[in-house]
Amino acid sequence: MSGELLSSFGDVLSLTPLALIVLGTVLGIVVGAIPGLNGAMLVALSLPLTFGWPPLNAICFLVGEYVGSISGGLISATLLNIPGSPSNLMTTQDAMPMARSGKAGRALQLGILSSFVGGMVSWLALVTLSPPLAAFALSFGPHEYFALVLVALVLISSLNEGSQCRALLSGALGILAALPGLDPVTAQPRLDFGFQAMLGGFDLLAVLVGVFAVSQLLQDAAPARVFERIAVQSSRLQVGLGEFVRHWVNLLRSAVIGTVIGILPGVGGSVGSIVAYSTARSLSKARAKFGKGSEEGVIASETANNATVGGAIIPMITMGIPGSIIDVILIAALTLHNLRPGPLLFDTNPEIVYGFMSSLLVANLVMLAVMLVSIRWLARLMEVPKAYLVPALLVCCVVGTYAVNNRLFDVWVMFAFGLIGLLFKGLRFPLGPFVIGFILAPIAEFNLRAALIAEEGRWVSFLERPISLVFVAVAALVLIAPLLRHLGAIRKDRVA
Amino acid sequence: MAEAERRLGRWVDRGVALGLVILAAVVWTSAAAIPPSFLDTGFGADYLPKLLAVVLFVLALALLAETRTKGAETRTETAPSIGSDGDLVARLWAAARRPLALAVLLAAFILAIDLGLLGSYPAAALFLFAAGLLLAGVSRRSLLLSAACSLLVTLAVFLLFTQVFTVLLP
Repeated sequence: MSGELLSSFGDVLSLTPLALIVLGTVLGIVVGAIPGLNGAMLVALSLPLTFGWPPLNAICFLVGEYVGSISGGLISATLLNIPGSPSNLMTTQDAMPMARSGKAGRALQLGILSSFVGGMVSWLALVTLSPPLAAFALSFGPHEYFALVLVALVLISSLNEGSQCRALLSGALGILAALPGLDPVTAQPRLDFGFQAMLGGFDLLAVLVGVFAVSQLLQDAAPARVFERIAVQSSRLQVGLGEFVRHWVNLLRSAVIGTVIGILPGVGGSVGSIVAYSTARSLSKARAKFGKGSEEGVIASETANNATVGGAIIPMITMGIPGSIIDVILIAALTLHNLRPGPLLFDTNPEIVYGFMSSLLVANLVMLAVMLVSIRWLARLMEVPKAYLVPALLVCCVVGTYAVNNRLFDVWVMFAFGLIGLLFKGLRFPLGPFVIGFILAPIAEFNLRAALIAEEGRWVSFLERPISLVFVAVAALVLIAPLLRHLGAIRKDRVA
Repeated sequence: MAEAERRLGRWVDRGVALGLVILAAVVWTSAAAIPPSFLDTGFGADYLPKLLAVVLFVLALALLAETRTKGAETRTETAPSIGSDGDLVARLWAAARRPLALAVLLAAFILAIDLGLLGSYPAAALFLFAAGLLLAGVSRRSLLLSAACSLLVTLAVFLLFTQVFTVLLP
């Protein structure tokens, strides 16, 4: 493996891929720093551009955007008290109070260094855990794959903030959106309601651009609140290395938490950041300082959210199950290049697998360099007038979606899913389960039908195989846990 | 005001649950109309849609039940604050007006290309100008900036897609 990884570094460090990583990372940081724009939107919007590129170049660019956008959100979280992306939510708790007390530069630098450490630890996990996990996943049959998809959907629904029922409904609607068109097994048309254009189903890219980019841009058109804005006075390094290393326990713990949460299918940076922040607060000697400008809080949140990036790539390349929302789009990017993520990718296209690993490392290094050098300029990004940016990005959505298949039907699909995304936000239906349901539906359907045909319709066969049984048990446990907690609370009330 | 929001929220959730029940029925009916294939194994093209229709129906009922118990309280906890004054409908309209207007402009932009009323680039330039004015408000400065953005972005899109990616737009 080390030979292939080293050779992959050679590929990634050649001129074009390296330039694309730098460009992607810078773009990601810029978009992450502008409130209202996020990484998922940027990566979805970039997909049509990468369509004609060699797959490795596309991966370098998209991974750079992924790392940059997660890191860039730190800037608006610190200076505006608005998380640039959901994964920077906990950063606002302490970074903004630090900024208010005149330590904006220090808060940003702590966040940047922590993001880098989180990224590096999760990169190590990606490199060491992926090959054995992929080998393990080779033993999966239809039962195991269907049960795994079930776990992914249930996990993302239960770990979502808000109602679990809405999250499950969102996942079910995502699966439903993937069904129209020709049946993948018998090639019979279904749910096309007589529309010829629907026989090909909804294009993956059109759906992703609609749900992530168009809905977000339309939402950004709403009148914005006026926020307190703090300027960065100096870009001089204010955090000493020795001083930073003193936080090593918090750094390591948060990085491990972020990586493990990233590995969980469908669960991304926001949950990683929340869990790491809560853990740091409960274990800290200076607990009272959390929420009032604690450096430990900034470190925990930023380390964990960047650590989820590497963690989330692990299930994606080893099993084809997205570890986070942006991984859904990365899967789409691989699909557009006729590559199928999963254990076989290690044999069929090792350069892609190791390309992910090496580009992630390089993107983290680029992120560190770019953000440390340009904090003061990046802080000005928050002054970008959205009145002109939003329409320009909408035009890019339309043109980019059209360009992939040269079909205006796809543009209408994008528009419709943009409205659906907006409606979901208004009704508090989370979008994560929807897109994960949409992308996993073909895998779920194929494996479910294959398993049931092989077992003559015996659903109980899912409980007769050890791995499948474990997945089903986890899914069932996660599903009924809130109900058990609710019943426990009622019993406690009665006793009291 | 909170009570009015809660009441409205309950009615919206009931409407959503009803819509989902109707959707489940439509999916079941459409799946039932798929003829069995010559490869009939009992798990054909209609299997997952029917299964999903049942799941949707059950979850719609669960949503209805949730609305009756805790949905209303959750709404007040998590819904973004739109403001504190004025009548509820006016506040909701104030928040939704510009996104909806932008969506209408976007639909008009796509429709103009689809019907062949305008070429992609003139349509994009018009959309950019109108959307810029919608979001920035009408003033001499926004008129100038919208016109400049409209020209520059259209030119950039034209150069990027026709020269770099060699894509021909309608």
